[in-house]
Amino acid sequence: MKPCLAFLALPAVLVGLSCAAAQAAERFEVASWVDHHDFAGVRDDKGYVFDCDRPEGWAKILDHVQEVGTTLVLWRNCGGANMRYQSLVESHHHDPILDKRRVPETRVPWGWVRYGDAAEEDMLRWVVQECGKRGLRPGVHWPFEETHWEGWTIGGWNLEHPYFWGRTPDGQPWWGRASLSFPEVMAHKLALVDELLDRGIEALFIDFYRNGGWTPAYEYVEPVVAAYRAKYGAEPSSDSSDPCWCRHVGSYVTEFLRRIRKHAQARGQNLELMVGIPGIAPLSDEPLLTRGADWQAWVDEGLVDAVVINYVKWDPQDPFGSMRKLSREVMDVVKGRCKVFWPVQAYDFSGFGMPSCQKATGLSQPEVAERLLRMAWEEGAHGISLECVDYNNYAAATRERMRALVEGECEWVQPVPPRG
Amino acid sequence: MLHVKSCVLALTYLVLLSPALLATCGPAAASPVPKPLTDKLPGATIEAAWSPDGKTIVFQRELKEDVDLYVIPAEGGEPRPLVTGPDLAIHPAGSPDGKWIVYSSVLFDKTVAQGLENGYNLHLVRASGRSMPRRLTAGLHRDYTPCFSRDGAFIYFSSTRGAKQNSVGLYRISVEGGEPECILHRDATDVALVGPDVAPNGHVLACGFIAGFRGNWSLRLVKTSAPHDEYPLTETSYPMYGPRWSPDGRLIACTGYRPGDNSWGLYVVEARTGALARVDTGPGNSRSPAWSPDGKRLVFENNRTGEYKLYVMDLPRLRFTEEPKLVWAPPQPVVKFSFASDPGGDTLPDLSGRGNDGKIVGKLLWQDGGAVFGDGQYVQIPKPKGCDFGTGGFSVRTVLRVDRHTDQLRLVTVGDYPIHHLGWQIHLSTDNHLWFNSRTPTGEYTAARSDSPPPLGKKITVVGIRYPSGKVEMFVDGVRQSQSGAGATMSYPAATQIRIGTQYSGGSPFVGTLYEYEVYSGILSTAEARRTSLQDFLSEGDVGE
Repeated sequence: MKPCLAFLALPAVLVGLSCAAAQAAERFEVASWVDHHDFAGVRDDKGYVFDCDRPEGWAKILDHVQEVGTTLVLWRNCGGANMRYQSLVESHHHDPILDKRRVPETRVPWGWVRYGDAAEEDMLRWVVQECGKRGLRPGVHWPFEETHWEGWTIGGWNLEHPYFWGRTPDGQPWWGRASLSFPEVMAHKLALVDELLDRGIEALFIDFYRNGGWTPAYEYVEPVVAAYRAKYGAEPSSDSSDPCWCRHVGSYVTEFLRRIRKHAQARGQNLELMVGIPGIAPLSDEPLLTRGADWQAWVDEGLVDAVVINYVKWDPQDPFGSMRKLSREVMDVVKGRCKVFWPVQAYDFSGFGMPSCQKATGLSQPEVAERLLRMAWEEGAHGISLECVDYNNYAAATRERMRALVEGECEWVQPVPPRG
Repeated sequence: MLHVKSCVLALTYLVLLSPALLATCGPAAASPVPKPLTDKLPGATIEAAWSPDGKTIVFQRELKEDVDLYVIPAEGGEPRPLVTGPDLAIHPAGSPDGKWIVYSSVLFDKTVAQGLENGYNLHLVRASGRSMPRRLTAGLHRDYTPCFSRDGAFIYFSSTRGAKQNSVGLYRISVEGGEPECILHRDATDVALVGPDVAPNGHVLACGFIAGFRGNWSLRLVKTSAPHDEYPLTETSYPMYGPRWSPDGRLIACTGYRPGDNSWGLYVVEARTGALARVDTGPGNSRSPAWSPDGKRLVFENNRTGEYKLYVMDLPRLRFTEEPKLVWAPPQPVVKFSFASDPGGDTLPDLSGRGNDGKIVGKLLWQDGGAVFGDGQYVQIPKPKGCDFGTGGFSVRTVLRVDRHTDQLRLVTVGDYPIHHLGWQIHLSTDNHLWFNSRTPTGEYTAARSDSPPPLGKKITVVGIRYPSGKVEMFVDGVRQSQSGAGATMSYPAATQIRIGTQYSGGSPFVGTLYEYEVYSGILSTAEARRTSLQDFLSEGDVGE
């Protein structure tokens, strides 16, 4: 560097130092996943508590979500490929009946909430703005799925393009996911990202647990198979869990994340890209083999801003000790290159959430939640991930205790402790 | 698609071309060109139905979140509104006398939390438009895709009414109104019968059918006098839906897509053979065909302009193809039991000749040509020979009867292997559906599910097949069940044991009766798994006469 330029660079160095200081005082985050669909059926003696079609209802949901000390709202944008806002490129939640290829959702009230029509409020835009007013960071929880395991969630764009559908090894089409290997599919996904960015989201959380039944077994589409042949000079194995095949399929998912990042950058928007990986530890190839999720490569490449630990497979004989050890394994892989969120998971479908932990330890939910929150904070996590904040599934006492901690003792991110 | 070595080793087959392959029908002429009908009308125009006199076509028009019904002269001209207003009106269908149009509509004037009372319900309006619509059904249901019976007395339709799961059944209601009658409704997640159309003889209706979100839509025939007597007209390996009978009852037009197609297209199915012909309609997706009353033309929707518009075209010369028939030497069973009579003692002799005799544990009740299983009774085959399938195909066939549904897991049979105790199974799950599963190489459960719980008190034949490709299928009484699995390529070594009537460790007992039981080291052909032919099914229905 020339001496005169070195002089000019001095302020930048000082700014850098001040950023480092700011980083040291980073707010410990509480990332709450909010599936407002799950509030629609809550009733009291006067009727439905939350009107999920109107802003009053959405405001009440946010009130409830804030009680747990939330700093980052990850609001669910869709169920499968049905958007819950006024998407111009995909189906709206109440569309299924208009396309007889879907099997409509029958449940009352869930099958009848519409989350706003064109003449009404755009829910996602409203929520983003409301988060801003409340000092919350607005984000979206976007499952890596197009089906949500139900026929009514399959989107109109998907239905209109059967030639992009997945294929099984024997060539049978499956409408559950259009393959990312087709440029048109990628462009469609990016158009959906545009719709989210247009509404002002700051964080995009892609959840690889909710993959809608997709696995590398449904990726035997022509471009993917042809690329495999070109790369390896051989036919892919019909065994869809073949590591070589899964790595190849995973490269399309990686490209998807790459494109999202570039897309947001090209728009000049600062988008925090978060990924949620189930069963992430003990470390294994399982996320790659079952979900095409090569998360360690994503961290290596700097593609993601945050890794969200959905759950780790802890040992019932030593729940907290093994949770700490396994989550540390993830921190050790990440090595501070991106944020890591630890789970305080109300859901228990994996058998590794709080209810199972309560059972294994005999502790109450507030006690377990406090232990998990403290553990994450002590180990230098950037925050905790709450899957999902439904009505009262984090009990009132739990919400109170968690909020007190994150607004007091655990307000700031701890430096990562040295490993022995 | 892929070269699958084990498949080639397992099967030696010939592709036979059916005589129907080259069958043709319709006028011998140059390819007809679709003529646009609604290109000047803003908005999407879809779901057309021809009037019985052939003069007009009723359709659904979508514009700016509103959906209305319009009528247009079949030869083109000015469309006139039939049903407009703030409600959404969809799926019009005309009565045989041409006087009435039935359709489905909803008015979202409240949110669900505010007390929305009605969903998509059926309404009748005079085809002339000179009357107010009359509500036919009510309630927070989705009543849709209606059609008239051939005598005009009833309306068949699809509905979610009564469903506890996300399912759709077939219903009918008198044109005078009253309570809808359930025709056929299998209330299981994602099991649906949609878009009924009654054959000209009135004996059979065709509809779209799906079972499970991993399935594809297929066409199903249902007898109107015995709705539980159904026949799968098209395969579930590609989607077909929206059937419409030709006026002479020989053909069914529908929407379909087969691998290799570059769009959704119009297909015509020969009702007596199931043979298919794709109709060339030019670029874009083509959907929802309906016949002109003389059977010489089709009206359909196509999106070549970027928006769906209606087109009319002459029926072209059709070239039907049947699915290639696989013919090979049928596999020999490696285990074969008959439960027709008490063998005496505790040994059940293996009739396959492989020496895989079963050990009877507990006291089975032998009655009515079967063995009644319950808690504490099972048959064990230790170290069965010939069940080391590797990555090859295998089949399990059993004839059984279930007398009651429960919320318990019940194991009909399990193949226990050193690499996985639950290597493959046929079981009744807590949802009372039958499942046949194999596994991925990493041991993940991959299964086919029956379309509905087995009928109570009825003897049924269940066949589970694991193909070398990893596909898993199930047939119940010869009908391929819609939900299949993929990726089940576990390599099976020599088995530790087979259990019949219980889990490998003794839990989850099967409660019911077994009549026959066979395991094959190979794939039972579709013909072997299927019991009834289409001709047999239709012979009672005078279809196409």
